[in-house]
Amino acid sequence: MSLLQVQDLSVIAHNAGRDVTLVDRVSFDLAEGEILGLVGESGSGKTMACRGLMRLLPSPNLRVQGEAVRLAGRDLLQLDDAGMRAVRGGQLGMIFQNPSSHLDPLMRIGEQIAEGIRLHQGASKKDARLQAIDVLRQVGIPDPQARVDNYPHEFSGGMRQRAMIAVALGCNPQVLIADEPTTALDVTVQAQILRLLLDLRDQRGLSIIMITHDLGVVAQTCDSIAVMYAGRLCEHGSKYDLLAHPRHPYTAGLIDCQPAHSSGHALLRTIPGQPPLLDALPAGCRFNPRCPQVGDLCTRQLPEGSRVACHYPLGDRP
Amino acid sequence: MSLLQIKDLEVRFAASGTGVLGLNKQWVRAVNGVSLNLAAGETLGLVGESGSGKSTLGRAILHLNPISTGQVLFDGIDMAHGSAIDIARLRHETAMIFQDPYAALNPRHTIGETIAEVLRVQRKVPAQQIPARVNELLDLVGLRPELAERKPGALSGGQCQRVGIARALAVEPRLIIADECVAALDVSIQGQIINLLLELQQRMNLAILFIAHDLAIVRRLCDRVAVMYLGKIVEEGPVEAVFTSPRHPYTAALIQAIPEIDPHRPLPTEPLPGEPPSPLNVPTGCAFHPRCRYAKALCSMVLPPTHFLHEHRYSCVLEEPLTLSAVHKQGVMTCNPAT
Amino acid sequence: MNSRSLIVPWRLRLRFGFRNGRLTAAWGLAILLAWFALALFAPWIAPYDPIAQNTDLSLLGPSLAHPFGTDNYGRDILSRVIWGARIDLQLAIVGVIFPFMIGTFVGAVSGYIGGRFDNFCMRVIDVVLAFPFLVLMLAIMAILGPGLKSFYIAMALVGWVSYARLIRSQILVLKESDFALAAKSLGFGHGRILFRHLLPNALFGSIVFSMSDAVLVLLNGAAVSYLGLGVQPPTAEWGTMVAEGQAFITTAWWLCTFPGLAIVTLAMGFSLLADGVAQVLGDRT
Repeated sequence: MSLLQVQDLSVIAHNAGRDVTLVDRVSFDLAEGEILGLVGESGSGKTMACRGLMRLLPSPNLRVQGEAVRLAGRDLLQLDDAGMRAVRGGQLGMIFQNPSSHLDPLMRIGEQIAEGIRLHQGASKKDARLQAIDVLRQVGIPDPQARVDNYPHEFSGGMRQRAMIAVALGCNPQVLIADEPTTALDVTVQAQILRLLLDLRDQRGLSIIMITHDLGVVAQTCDSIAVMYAGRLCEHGSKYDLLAHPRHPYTAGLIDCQPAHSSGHALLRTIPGQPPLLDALPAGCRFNPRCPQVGDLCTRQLPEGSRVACHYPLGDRP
Repeated sequence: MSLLQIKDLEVRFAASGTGVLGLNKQWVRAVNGVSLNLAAGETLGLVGESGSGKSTLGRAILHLNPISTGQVLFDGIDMAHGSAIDIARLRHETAMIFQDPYAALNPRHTIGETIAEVLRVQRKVPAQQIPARVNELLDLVGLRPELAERKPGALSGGQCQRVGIARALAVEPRLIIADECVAALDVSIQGQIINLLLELQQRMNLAILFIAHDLAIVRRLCDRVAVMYLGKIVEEGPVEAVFTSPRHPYTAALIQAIPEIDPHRPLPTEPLPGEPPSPLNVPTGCAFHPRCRYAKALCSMVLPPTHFLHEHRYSCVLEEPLTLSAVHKQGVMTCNPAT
Repeated sequence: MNSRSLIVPWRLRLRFGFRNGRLTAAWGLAILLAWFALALFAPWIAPYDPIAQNTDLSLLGPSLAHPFGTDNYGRDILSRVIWGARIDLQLAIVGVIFPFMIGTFVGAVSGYIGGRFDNFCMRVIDVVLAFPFLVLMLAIMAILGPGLKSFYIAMALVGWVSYARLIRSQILVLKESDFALAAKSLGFGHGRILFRHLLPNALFGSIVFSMSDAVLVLLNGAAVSYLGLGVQPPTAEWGTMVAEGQAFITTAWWLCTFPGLAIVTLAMGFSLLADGVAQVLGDRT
């Protein structure tokens, strides 16, 4: 039974009398303890989709709509602001790419973690502080008793990311949305943070949605992968299936683009062209101008499908 | 003869916030004794994490950062102590490509103006031939000539980076320093830029110093690679030699830490601990010893010796190769301790 | 933060056009152009000679013959307001242009050169700023004598500091940008880098500031004339008109009100233009 079920989630921007769809009817499931990798390049809508899930959209011009977003049975789209606020933090946590901008520079780390604990669990100040120290230890920050009173600027980059994870974990969410958590980190620190997230999943049964553009990160940490392009979901499947036998040409293209995938000084394989402007989308499938296997239906009809959105999926061809 | 020879280069900055009234200032050694050679037509990859000093080194080579000690010999002439004429010559024969494609272009000038200005100031072609040359350069990097009328804000990241390359080519350089020039681009676009650089390099016999943190790209693009840690080069050699048999523990850790797209190869269960230290607090002895799993007592006391194996050199007390176990058929190995 | 950066989103892949900024700017511009037209065509529009006195007609309330009434010397207030537009528009514009040019030049050079020269300029700016603005203006004008010319000189000597600081802070940031470094790596000279590359990108804040500064200059000019040091009688200027009408505020309210309204509407024109331009340019960057 899925912990999180997203059905036909859309995020629409309204401006100057026009509606532009940033995320177009995205659907996916997340089981308990599962790590889902949400992969896409810039403009794919992956961050916007998750912001829409949490109803944390950056502008009043953006609105969320959808069939349902069920977290542990409850439809989040039906909740009002107060209801949503209770869900955020307590059930749905989020961590971001740049910890420096997402931690309050004027508040001690301990206080930031304790704030969420007090709010969602009603704990007393003392209890919350003890729990904060405990959480800091769980995320691997050495000497948490002392560091709980430090300010964010006293932490190094990787430590700050751990601190941000601690702030999110303090409220004990069931689902953690990680928005490019390691993109801004050094590669050796990235390995540490990814290892931490995997350990947290194993110890706490935490479900994670990992938003990233790096297929390598996804291959190492995720259980299932959902690929997005220009606001739509292209393909969704288990990691092993998708990476070994991609069915959508975009997925195949992305895998091919990885420099490690071929050797020698031959030219890298690329996907020609660039992602489209969301207010000037091509007719039919949004990938058709760049698709090496473009077919007859592709320029006329938008492909639908929960596992693969393609008129002529790879592997189905003779 | 090498096009570029760097000998014991040091670049020091005064750390901000230290020193009262100019006394007792602390110095940050961003580049701490680097020696490198680059021949014409060769591509050298420079990898490292934050605090390694690789960007500072790139800028110091082009005389964009003041050099504290050491020599930078471009075509035999020392630019570190060069006259204004020498520096001007450097400017006419070298160019840099930057990481952020938008920030590297003046947002108020059109693409055509940006490139034309280089041609005009450096007097590469007579004035009436400038528009034709601009079109030629745009064509060389795969951009349509109509884009010359547009400003950077109207172009994509990939297109802007191509403009950056076109501007660098306008100089007719012999050396290009690419400072993380694909890091800010989408993966599907990165390949286009890398391929472009490969083509141009072969066509024009360019020497390229490719500064990056992405080892996989360095492996595809470069002939040789140098790994930097806290201002020093810890390992340098031909790309395949360094990648298949790294000798320095830091290189091995870097290679191991890059997530591979093979789902059957798990993340290291014990990734490299700690973080790159700040250049203000360089550890004594070998700068890497606090994080090194092979560290001995000696390592915190003396600087490690440099070993030379043919074209491959590294600075470590370890003398035996790190024994490798083949896990991945694509040649990226996991490393086990030698003892 | 290490050098690994974000994947740059291509301007969110959308083209938004915000209309509000343009509308605000349009309104502001309309008001300014209206006043400009009135000032330009004053000899043909104003019904009477602004300095012609006629004691028989003094202190008449608004009527068909004199829509704004007459003042204590029997001068038609409507004509004086229209003619006054010439002086006040001139005040607002010239009183901004000189400080703008001087301040921008000093601030840009100071920020670019840096080091001890920059330190010195900043201390000079600090000294000027230490004095209350109006006190300094009046002191200078007292030495130079009353009149518009002294007003402009005093404004130039005192008002440049705000522009200098604005531009300097922008130049300090832009100096470290990649395109400035690129220009340096291509062998461009300092002058070219500063004046062709850095300065045009730094001016945005100053331009917007200058438009709201025009409002303050206008009010300053009115204040200074009110105090008797600016425009001398019998020249029509809104500030002096308000000053002279003060004595009659309870008996003949129209002497102060109409010039006052004129000041307010012109100031609003500048304000709206500044707001609108800020919004439009801000959205584009």
